[in-house]
Amino acid sequence: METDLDLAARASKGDRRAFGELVRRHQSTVRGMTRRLSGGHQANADDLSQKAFLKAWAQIGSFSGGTFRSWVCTIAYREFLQVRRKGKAQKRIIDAAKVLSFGQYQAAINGTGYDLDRALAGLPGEQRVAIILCVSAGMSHGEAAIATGWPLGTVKSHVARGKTALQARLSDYDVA
Amino acid sequence: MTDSDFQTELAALFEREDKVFRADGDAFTAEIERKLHQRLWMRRAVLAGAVLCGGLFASLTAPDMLGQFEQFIASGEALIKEVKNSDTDIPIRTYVLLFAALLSTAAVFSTERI
Repeated sequence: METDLDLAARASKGDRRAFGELVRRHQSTVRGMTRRLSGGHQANADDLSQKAFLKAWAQIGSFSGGTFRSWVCTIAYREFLQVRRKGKAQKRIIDAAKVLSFGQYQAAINGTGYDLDRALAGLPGEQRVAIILCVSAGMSHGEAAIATGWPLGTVKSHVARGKTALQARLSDYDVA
Repeated sequence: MTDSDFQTELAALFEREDKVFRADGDAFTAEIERKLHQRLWMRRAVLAGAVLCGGLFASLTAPDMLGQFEQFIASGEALIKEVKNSDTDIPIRTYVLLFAALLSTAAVFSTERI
């Protein structure tokens, strides 16, 4: 199986099939990340994810190592910030609160279980973003620092505090 | 539970949730590929249109440039006549349009990415 780096190298020469394979491999992580950032609204999250992948295609020449997943997640996060800045996301996030999220849906079906979305939503914004980037998207602290523009120590601190808060919120549930 | 254990479990939880996207992963990928294809052809069409319009505009409204171009073409034409020993008399605008068409074709087919 070809590595992401090989595929990215082919994609940078205009190979759309190679890029398609990269999308196939990483779409679930990117869509999961954008869904969490968008407060659980899947349609908005998929719009964001599509924009991120289209932008990644346009900028694939600037991908210079590291992991493709982190790189595309960084693009997706910046797209999210841009949309939020424009004020479009704000109303959608409020609307999204009325929609049953995947985690809530799962918890509702099972009757028991955890509600990860609700636990995440209860965290302060920076901690939530740090947890989403570092745990959900699998970025290193350094990569998250680059994506957010925060100092490395700040990222580490948000992740640590976020994990402690989440652990407390999820302690009533069997998360294993 | 240690901090590291909790992070591992949390990552596993996120991954488990994200598995739901694998079901329509192919449809999502196909939609991206369709948009890339669409953008590529739109860009090609815009480029081709711009170059053709530019060529037409130049040929119709820039007599100085046209004059220089005519000189250049005339020398080329003289060379062609000499080589082929023919006496063809092709209007200059045909050359301009041909040049624009060649340029647009080159632009269109050299554009492989958005």
